[in-house]
Amino acid sequence: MAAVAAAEAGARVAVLSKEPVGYGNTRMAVGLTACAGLPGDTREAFVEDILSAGGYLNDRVLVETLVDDSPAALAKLESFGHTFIRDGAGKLSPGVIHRAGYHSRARTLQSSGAGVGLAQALRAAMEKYGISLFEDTFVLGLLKEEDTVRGVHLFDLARGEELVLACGAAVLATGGAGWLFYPQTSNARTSTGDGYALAFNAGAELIDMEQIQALPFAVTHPEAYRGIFCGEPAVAGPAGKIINGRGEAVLNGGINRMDRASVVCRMSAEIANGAVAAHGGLILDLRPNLALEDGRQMRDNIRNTGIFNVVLPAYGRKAFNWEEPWEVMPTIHFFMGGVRADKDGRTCLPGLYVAGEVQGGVHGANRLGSVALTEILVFGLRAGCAAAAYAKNMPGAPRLRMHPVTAELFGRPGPVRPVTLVRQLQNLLWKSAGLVRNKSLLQEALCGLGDITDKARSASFSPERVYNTEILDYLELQNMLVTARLVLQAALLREESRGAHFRSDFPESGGEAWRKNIVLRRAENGDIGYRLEVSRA
Amino acid sequence: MKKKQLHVNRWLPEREKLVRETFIVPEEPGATVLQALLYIYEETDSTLAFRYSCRYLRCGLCGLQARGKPQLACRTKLAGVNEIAPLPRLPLLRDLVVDRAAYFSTIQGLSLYPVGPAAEPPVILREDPLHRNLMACLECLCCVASCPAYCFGEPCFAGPYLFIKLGQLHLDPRDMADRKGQAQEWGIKRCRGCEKCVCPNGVRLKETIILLSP
Repeated sequence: MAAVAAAEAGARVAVLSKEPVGYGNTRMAVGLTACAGLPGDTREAFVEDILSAGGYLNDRVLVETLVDDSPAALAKLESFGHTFIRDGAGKLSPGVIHRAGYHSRARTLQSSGAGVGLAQALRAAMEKYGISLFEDTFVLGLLKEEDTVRGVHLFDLARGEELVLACGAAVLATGGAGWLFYPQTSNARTSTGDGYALAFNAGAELIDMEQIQALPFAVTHPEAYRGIFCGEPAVAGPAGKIINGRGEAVLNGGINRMDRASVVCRMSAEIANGAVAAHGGLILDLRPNLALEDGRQMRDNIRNTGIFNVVLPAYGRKAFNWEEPWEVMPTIHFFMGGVRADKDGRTCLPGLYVAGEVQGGVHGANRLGSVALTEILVFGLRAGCAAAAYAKNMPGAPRLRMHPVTAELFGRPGPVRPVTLVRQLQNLLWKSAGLVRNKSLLQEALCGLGDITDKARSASFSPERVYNTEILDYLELQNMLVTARLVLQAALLREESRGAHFRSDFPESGGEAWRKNIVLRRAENGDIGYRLEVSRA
Repeated sequence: MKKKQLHVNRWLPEREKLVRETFIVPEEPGATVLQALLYIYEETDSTLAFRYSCRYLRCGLCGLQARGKPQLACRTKLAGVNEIAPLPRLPLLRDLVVDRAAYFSTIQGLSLYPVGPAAEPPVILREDPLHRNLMACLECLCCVASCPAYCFGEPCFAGPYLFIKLGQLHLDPRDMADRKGQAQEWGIKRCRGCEKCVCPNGVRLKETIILLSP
């Protein structure tokens, strides 16, 4: 959306993507998108729902902007060929407007073709506006002229060459970093925190990097599907139960009215206590719903969204029909924290803009379902417009310097392969910062990152120039290491439990005293500098 | 744990040829071809290039050839698969990785978005059931790889994928362009009576081709 808005505003636009464009988390979404202005809803109710779910760590201006701009942003998407599902008469009537989990009103629309439909429409829009595409292209760094972002340093994976692209402004729309927790994540393989690392390395501010949302229900086995999400609280229906490994009820009914963080927190405590089922998870028993008057209809409605499709190959037909319970475990889904920016995506670095999950501050400590797609549409449009307006006034031909990164890597022998280090880091992050955190775990993990960083210096690489996967792993690992450090540092600093952040050594909320954002920024010596700021909720 | 041999046909751009290599992979119950690829990648050979993203049927990146037809590695059970290869007929970058950018560049400039008067999107929008089905196209290109008439580089025929896109637009009340005319220009007559293309996600290819045919 940012590219489209910038092109519409008259800018020459190029989209850079390390994978084919349109194959990230948006594509994998179920396609549920919240929109303001629908019958029965109010602006105040929508804003308050987002703020209260977010534990009031949100930036109120961003929340209000999301709500106010949402109808126009969704309409813009439809003009590219997307379809939000209507009723038989082609209207948005109450039957097709859903009340997603923890929203107080019905305001969520379903996408034809789910997230794939959305991704197709966005790709079509790029053709419409003549946007240049650089696919299989990894961004190594943002290049500055004095303190202003004026270019990007690229690595063309398909050719094995580094390039420099000058620009008047850059917009990061890289998504989050759920892949730091693989396999326990719902995210695309590409979610390796590239945007956070690029912004931090260039000197931008990040906030609340400890706030990482898990969805409560993901499959635990077989290994092929471990961590793939199969539902959020709404899927439990009114009568679904969560049972621990000793057969005791952990949550008994009413799960569908709880927010994501509350369900995950309750499950996490039980898992940490060791009362787990055969594959380390808990049992979700949906059978009580089928005894309700409209139980089967409710199951079919939820199933039609495709949200738990993976249950069929993982657990079989009976489980898919809710006639057998599922073993489930929370899975990492969304980074609420991110690069600090205003409602136009403007960061503290001149020339650098952000939009989508890479931006922090919209969702505070916990995100409501179906608001992430709204976020990318609204803030993509705003960031693109603002970046284009800014870039118009920039003089041409900046003087940019870059240091080659990959040249010395091709064919270098060494004792360890990059993918081994990536898996070590993921294992470390899941254990220390996945569901339950405490000071000693977090400190140990920071030491562990140091060890991985050292080993990466002697990693081995094959010599092939074309699509060298080991180089890609290494480059992503560098970004994952930066992002992991930001997460661990922020998680250490927040000595309370709030939203998605649960500290076993500080299990209670810190109340008003902790209604603060943790702002991180690179210090002169490369360390992480921080300050606490009163939340703008 | 039970193990098996898996033969992988790898495209080597330096030699411009496919080379068959054999790996030993675990075959636990429910294992998929994608799981086997990840095992090889992590434990044996991290130069093996293949695309994947979502791990189950949401993205369309992991298409390959197994058991004699194009399919998605994430939903193909390893049991019964002894040999895999990149999607046929498409340009390749390395090993199992298709050069998707090269394929999509061949259908640039066809205005594959609703073309019409620049008005606000309609409030009332009736969606044809076939349109809903076509929007589920994962763009995995398995249909193109299974098309006996398709040959990369040949002008004015892009295989069934393009007809899915044209079908979406033909059924879209917001689009005013002549999509049936475009389908004719892009060789839909070659599809008559063929029906050999496959879709791993249940997109109704045959119906779409009939819809767009003169």
